[in-house]
Amino acid sequence: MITDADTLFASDHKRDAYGFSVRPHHVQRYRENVKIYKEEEEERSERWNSFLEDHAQSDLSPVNGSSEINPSTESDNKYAEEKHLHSDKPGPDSTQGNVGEEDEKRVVRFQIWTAIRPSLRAIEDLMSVRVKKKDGDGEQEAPKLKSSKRVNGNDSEDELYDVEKELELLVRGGAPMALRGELWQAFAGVKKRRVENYYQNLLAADSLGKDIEHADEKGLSADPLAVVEKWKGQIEKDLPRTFPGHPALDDDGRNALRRLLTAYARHNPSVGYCQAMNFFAGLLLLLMPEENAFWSLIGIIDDYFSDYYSEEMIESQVDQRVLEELVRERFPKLVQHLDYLGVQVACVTAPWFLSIFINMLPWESGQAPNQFYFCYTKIVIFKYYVCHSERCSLFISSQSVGCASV
Amino acid sequence: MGSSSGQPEFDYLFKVLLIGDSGVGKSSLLLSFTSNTFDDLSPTIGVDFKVKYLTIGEKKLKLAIWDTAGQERFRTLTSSYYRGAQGIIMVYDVTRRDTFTNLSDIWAKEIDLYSTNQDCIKMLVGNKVDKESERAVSKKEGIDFAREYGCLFLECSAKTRVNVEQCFEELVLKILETPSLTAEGSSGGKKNIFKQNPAQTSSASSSYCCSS
Repeated sequence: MITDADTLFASDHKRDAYGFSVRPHHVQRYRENVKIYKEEEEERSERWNSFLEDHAQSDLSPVNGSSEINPSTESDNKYAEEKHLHSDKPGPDSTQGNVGEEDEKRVVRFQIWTAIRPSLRAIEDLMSVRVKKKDGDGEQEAPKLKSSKRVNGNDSEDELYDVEKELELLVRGGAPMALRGELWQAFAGVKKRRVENYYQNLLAADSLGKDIEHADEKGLSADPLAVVEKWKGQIEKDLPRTFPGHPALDDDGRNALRRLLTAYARHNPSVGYCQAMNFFAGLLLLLMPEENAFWSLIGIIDDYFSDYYSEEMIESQVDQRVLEELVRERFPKLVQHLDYLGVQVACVTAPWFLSIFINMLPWESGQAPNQFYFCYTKIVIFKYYVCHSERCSLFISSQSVGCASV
Repeated sequence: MGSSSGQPEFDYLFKVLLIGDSGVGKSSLLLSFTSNTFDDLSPTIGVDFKVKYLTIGEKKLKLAIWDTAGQERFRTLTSSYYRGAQGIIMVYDVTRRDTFTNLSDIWAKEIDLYSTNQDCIKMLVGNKVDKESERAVSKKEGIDFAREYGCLFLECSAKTRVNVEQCFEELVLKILETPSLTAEGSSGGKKNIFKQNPAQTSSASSSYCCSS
């Protein structure tokens, strides 16, 4: 996890605030803008902090009391400790482990879960109403957002509306990195989604866990499950190809990524594993502990992008057609140019849709739409796509090249 | 990289497609060809493409090279890119046998299904010959496959760049020798795109770049 604000913008500018190496052709621009990024980040932090402070006093009543000390630092320490342990292949000291003799042998502890900081709980509650509990496990039906009185018993609807408005403005400005992971969790309703031990049990189903961890790149391990779980080989292929060279994705990072993707594939076999999910999962792991990342991933893929990544990928195709229509309407010249090149709009936009700009844009801008996703609906992202198309359009008209990879 | 509009910047525009299993090195091959570099790449999501200008003999060529995602489920998405391609490169990894067997099981069938050019030139490329010690598919097998399916054949390494340029050049030479393909690819550079009337309005049929 990256949360240390001081190291966000390293001075050598070889890596950006997220730890990604800055592409050579972006270095110059990054260098020029790094001061602005930094200032913006500070501004964001300030705005969010004052928002949280304002609402902390009136709105918050810690629920489970499990993480009263600043959970951010707590989780950091924990995580750091984890990493430490991993690096010299610890023995069976996974004390938080759930039952199952296999777990004894398991090298890595995947039971990392941290509640988000108390000051974000109001947002969490606000956003959780969107989470549809599918298994009806006794949790009471959440009230509709409009009539929600959960945040504060005395809140009038207007006040609540104001809070939402304010939040919306904040989200538009982006979340500060230190809060981002936790905010995403709040937006995705992670706490409400979470079922105790679910993640662990999904992984425990795999009794040959250790073998898999040492399976070679080609995914041709002797694991009999590999026959059934055909996505396994694909995951293995993609692990080293997910943010290659990122310092967080060392062996331990990749093992975590493997567990996360494996657990998701088992959770939702109709999707299994689709390339592009590795980017989501990897990004989430940079921002939060492993199990939190799992529930966030579920939020993203089960709810926001249901049917985007299934075998047929129906919904992503539908959305692309919609965007194509929009682009046709708004930027006829752009479409004309693409037609001329024999390029379907969809082929330019498919990667946008499928990886939601992760890896598509410089990170600072790539994160903006993700912010929206977590908070809002697809409408916003469509606006973003259209804006992006507009920029492409300008770019193309000015250069008359068109085939540049956008 | 572009020239001012109105000038014919190339004599022919050819569309070339890269297909094959995930992880065989399609994107690396393309990058190696277009930028002379080899890098750790992320998996291709959906499709990607790059442009390369070549001069062969007197002819200025513009290659639009389409790089497709190898994962099975992306095939619904990638199938539409076969249309209008003058050249298709099937890539396998010489160190992974399954990527070779999938060529006849899957990829050759995909071409039959989706390619619209009867005369489209096919090329078989065995990548990663730099890992000679891990080789799992012999050169002879590659040659036999190519003979059976009527393809050109080369072994190469995107990493060491051995034979990389040859792959594309041989393909292009063969395309140039095929009159039906050059007729189709010839008109590209002679139009000023921003003054051109929108020839096609239907989104479904917009894949042909240079039909005339």
